[in-house]
Amino acid sequence: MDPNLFKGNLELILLSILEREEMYGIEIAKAANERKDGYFVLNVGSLYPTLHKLEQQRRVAVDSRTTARGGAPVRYYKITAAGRKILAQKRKAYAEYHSAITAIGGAG
Amino acid sequence: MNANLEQFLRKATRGLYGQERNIVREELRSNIEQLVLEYQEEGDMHEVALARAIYEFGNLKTISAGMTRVHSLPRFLQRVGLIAVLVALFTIPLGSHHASVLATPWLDPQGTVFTFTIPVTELETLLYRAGIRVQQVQSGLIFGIGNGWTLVPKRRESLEVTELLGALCQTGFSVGIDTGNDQVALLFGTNRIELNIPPGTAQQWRAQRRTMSNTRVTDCNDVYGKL
Repeated sequence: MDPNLFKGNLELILLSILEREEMYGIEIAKAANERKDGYFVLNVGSLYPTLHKLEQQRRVAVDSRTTARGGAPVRYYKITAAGRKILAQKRKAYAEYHSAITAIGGAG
Repeated sequence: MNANLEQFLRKATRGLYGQERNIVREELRSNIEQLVLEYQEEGDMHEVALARAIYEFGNLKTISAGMTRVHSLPRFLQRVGLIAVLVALFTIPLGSHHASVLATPWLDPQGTVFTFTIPVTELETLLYRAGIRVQQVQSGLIFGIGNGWTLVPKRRESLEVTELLGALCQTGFSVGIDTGNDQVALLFGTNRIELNIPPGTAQQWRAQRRTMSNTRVTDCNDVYGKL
């Protein structure tokens, strides 16, 4: 996969995953890798800067609590109303971009 | 406390400071711990599970660079921006500039004042505060403002007031002279420079000039004719 495509759509990917339920970092990475059948391998560490950016933008909210496994509390990320709005916009923009590329023959 | 883990966390949060660094470090730590617990459930020894977990987290430099970009860089840029504004406030003139400068009257053979001259060194400081750069070069005196500049020919130690007004006109100001109340003031744009001159010299000078007080010119060809 073209790494630039991945980088440019990481927010879309993360918000899509959080759309259904709140998760913490490791869970998000696993969900992403499972859903795309290993199409891209998401290194866990690379998620956090984008997650923190989404938090700063108030597109996700954070809540610390322990997992069922125990251990120290982890930060769970939950999509906000603003995050859902942005997700819808990004999906629309991506769909339009994909249509345009397809129309000019870029999709092969 | 595991040395490898602490080193990883220290390097992954390089570029962050204080409470922010603590929060990020503890988040990474708690997630690594979750991975370790998972791998131990699969049968790994603790040390192996930890090594796997740290490996899964990916490139240290990528994490550190990403965190710095999100957390420290915006704050740094804000501080740079604030410093730039403060510097600008103290160096870039706001609004009009009023000042005074020592000027020397020049007398004709009859002993009547026919002009005044101002030392270039005084002008450099004075006009700098009004946003105008004055610089001696080999061929003369450069007056510059913004991207515009003009040259007054010949190196000299002082500048005659009409020459000065001509140069200021060339840099884009409307210029004029105010000779009321036994004083002489040079006007350019919204700026005003009072000349510190001996008492009575302003009246002498005004008496022999045809200029009305507070005349302004924008056509630089009129500087010598009308001022």
